[in-house]
Amino acid sequence: MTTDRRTRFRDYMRRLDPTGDPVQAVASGFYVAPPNAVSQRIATRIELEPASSHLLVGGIGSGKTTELIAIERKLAEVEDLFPVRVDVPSRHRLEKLKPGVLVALAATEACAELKRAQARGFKVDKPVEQAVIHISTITKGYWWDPSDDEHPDEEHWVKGMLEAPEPSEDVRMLSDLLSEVNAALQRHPVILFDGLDRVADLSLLASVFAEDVPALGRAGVGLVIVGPQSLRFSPHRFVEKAFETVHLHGAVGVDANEGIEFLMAVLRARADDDVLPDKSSSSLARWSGGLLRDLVALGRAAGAEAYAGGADTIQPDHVDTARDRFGRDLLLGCTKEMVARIKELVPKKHVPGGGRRDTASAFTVATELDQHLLVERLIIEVPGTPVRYVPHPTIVPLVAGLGSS
Amino acid sequence: MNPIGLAELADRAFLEPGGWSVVMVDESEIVATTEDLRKEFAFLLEDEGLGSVSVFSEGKSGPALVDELAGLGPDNVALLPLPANLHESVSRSLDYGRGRIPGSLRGAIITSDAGVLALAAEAPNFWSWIGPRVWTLDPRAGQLDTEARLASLQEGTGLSNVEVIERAEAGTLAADPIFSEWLVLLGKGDLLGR
Repeated sequence: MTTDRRTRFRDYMRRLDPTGDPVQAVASGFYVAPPNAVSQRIATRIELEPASSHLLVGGIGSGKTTELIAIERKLAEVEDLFPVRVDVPSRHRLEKLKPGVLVALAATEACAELKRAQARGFKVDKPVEQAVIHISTITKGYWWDPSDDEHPDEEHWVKGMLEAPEPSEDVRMLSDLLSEVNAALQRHPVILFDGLDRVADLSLLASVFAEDVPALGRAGVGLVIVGPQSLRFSPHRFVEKAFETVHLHGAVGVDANEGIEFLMAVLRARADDDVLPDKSSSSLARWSGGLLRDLVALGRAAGAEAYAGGADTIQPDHVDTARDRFGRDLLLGCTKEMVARIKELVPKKHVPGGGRRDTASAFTVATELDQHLLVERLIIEVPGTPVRYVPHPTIVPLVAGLGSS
Repeated sequence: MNPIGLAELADRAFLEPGGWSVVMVDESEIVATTEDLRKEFAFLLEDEGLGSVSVFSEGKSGPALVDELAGLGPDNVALLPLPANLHESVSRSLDYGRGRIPGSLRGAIITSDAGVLALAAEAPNFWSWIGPRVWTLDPRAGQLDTEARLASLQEGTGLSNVEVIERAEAGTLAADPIFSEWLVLLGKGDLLGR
């Protein structure tokens, strides 16, 4: 019965690893399409309009990267497209993000595709080869020796005080060069930029989107960008207009059977019934609030409880211990002001007068404090019509005991 | 808050590849706790024949820290003491650089309650990976309530003390750390390894 129980639980933990390579997870069959999958909508649109641009926003841990991978896989089946997923923070320091970085990354990918084609015997014209060299120079940098300058003492232009609001010269140049390389490619590039949802400086991010998205459009590059949830509530939301469509990918509703069944299917794809029975799986689904990362984190924590207790399977009381710890840890990030705001939002079964209070529809993201509650997952955004906001289920039983003053 | 002993903390961390924990202590205890944790993890790593423990010195900038983390092997354990003067810069860098840190690397951040607040606010993505793994150290963790632990083991496995001893004597007891612990609690450590 307990032969190598540790191996079984380690295997369970490995399959439920939220930090594991998501590409590997999808390839291993762990991907379960959510209800109204945003990946399907975006991929279909790009199939029809390869150079269209799409912004995908949503809460932390709602599965945006997984949806991006699903888009990449769907587009990879289309003959004349070559989708590339780029995790921006892995390729460029986000602290040094600036307009032109996305165009530079896209141009680098297009050049790499061209080189692969050349290796297969594909011939390109001299101007295109020069464009590739020029792109490499602009994106990676180069040594400049002033003594090489033919006319070092020649009169030079000094910039005036006023500058017309035009795109930066280097961004425009990169866009033109990319356009040239793109025209020589046999397949349309579609770049899927991940990781920009972590950019905290929304003003900077908006300036990048405002320049790079139109520049990539001019170069004929299809685009999907994962952006931060808070962009929609900031003064910089105007930049959404740079994209053809904006998609909200949030938590799955756990008050409907469809949502619970989806979340249970996600767990079942990774864990068998003999380790995680349906009753525990259903309980995990409800406590997750519909956030995929929290679902697997709770599943892991419940597994750790079962293992430490000597059990062979994860029982509802292990889930209860895990969700209690999870809620307490979520609340550790709370300031007094946040606690006071949460208390206003947690449903009360009965209010004076005997009615029920529908806090979900009462919440609107009105202040910076509200944005913090969303970013720290204390309040969860559930897409739909209308979009709903609910407290994370794991904090609800704990809030009454909190002091807010 | 979840009190836990150092040994159990290290044991749980080993069960979860890629798991990052936060250990919340007084600011003045960050260095000493880091050293205690290093010893626990070093013992476990040696026992398992795996990688090594990397302790990151205080004062390292956020980007430099992420660069070093990115170079660690998947079987290593990273310990990050996070004092007050580095809360913001290290938190932000961890958030930006999460994708560069090896997926199965285990790690622990040793910091104060203010450090926890900074992680939640400045590194919301990284914070979401931590999940329910914020611990305080339980000074009574070494003082085990033997009867309560035995009752818990019996309930969890459905076996009695007698059955466990009989299986150990017959050499049919599964090679599971909880049975080793069980035999020791019963004063039958001599049956280990049969």
